[in-house]
Amino acid sequence: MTNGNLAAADRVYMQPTWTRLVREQAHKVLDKLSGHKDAVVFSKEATEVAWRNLPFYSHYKLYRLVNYATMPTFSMMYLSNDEEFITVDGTAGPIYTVNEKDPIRLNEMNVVPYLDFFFSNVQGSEGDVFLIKDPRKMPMLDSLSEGQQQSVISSFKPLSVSMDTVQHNFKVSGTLYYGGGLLSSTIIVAHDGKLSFQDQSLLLTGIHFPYSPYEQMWLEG
Amino acid sequence: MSDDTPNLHDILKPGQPLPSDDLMIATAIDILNHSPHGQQLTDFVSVNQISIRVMSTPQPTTYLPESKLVYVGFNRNNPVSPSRFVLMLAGILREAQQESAGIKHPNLHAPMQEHMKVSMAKHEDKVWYMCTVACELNDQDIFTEYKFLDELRKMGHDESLALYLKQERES
Repeated sequence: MTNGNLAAADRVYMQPTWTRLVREQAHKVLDKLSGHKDAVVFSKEATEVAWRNLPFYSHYKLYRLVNYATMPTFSMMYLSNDEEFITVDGTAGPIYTVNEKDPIRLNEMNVVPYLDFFFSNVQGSEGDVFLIKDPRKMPMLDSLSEGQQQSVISSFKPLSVSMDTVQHNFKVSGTLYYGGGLLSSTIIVAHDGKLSFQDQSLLLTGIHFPYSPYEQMWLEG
Repeated sequence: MSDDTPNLHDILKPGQPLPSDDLMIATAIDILNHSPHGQQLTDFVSVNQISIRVMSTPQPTTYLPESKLVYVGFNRNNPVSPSRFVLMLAGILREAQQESAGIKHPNLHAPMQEHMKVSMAKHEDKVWYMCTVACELNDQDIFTEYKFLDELRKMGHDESLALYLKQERES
């Protein structure tokens, strides 16, 4: 896959496509959610509901609820087909569940957006995972020292995507930020969206960002 | 791969084994009871029948959707430490106390200046309260291992804590 294709794949997911629901539609969503026994409470007066399509699902969309009456604002994400709302809770479970319910359709163009979506919503015991496509555009790179910034750029291994037609999976090789370090790894994405990792190796340690790389970029747009 | 290398397979685990939500809340309340300011919060919970719930969220967070309902949220793959849970609970209960005392966030349509003024004052009060509870607990031998002050710093309140400690020394 060329760099041009990767940039196009990036736009598949990263373009600002949140659609805000009008009050009546938002209230219908909140009514559906409040029917769940463990539902987190959102007030109808102060909550904005928005949604965006995900290029790898046919029926499920990503919903974002933001309560503006708190400081800072409080938000939750849900995957929904407008009937069932599945909380995006920071683990892989909800995403794998939807991958089965609305069988995920992966191709060379949307596998990287799928990984971006996955990593922006699933944490490990060491915190956030961030797939680096261009180290110069990495969030909060400027919070590192000049020397660390150069190390990040020189350690970076470019992203490559290939399809294994025999195993029916994708192999995405590249550089990830995780646990205060940069790692190179091959991510195997199975046809059902399940991930596994091969050939992990540590490229750089001691990289700590003041905030989650997803804290701002995910809510914007 | 060495033992020190962060292992990406972590993120595929179906959440860490954790105590029940009720046990986490009861333990946090018990710990807060060891601090005079924490005890004020636990009294407030019992007198006002405040409901405390744990939720699963991608990032650690607290939430006060109603004056008598508070949430503490964290990622089940990357759970917060017990000391952070206690401090998060203290912070959100202090916010509930503010609401109960009539110190509320301005209406959504209120001028920006009013939002800034009230929200900053509420935030300062909340952080000051968390610093007080953390210091009171930190002074007790039974909580040495909890490292409450370190946890408060990790939560991003290092400057507030330094200011609080300076004020305490000077008073």
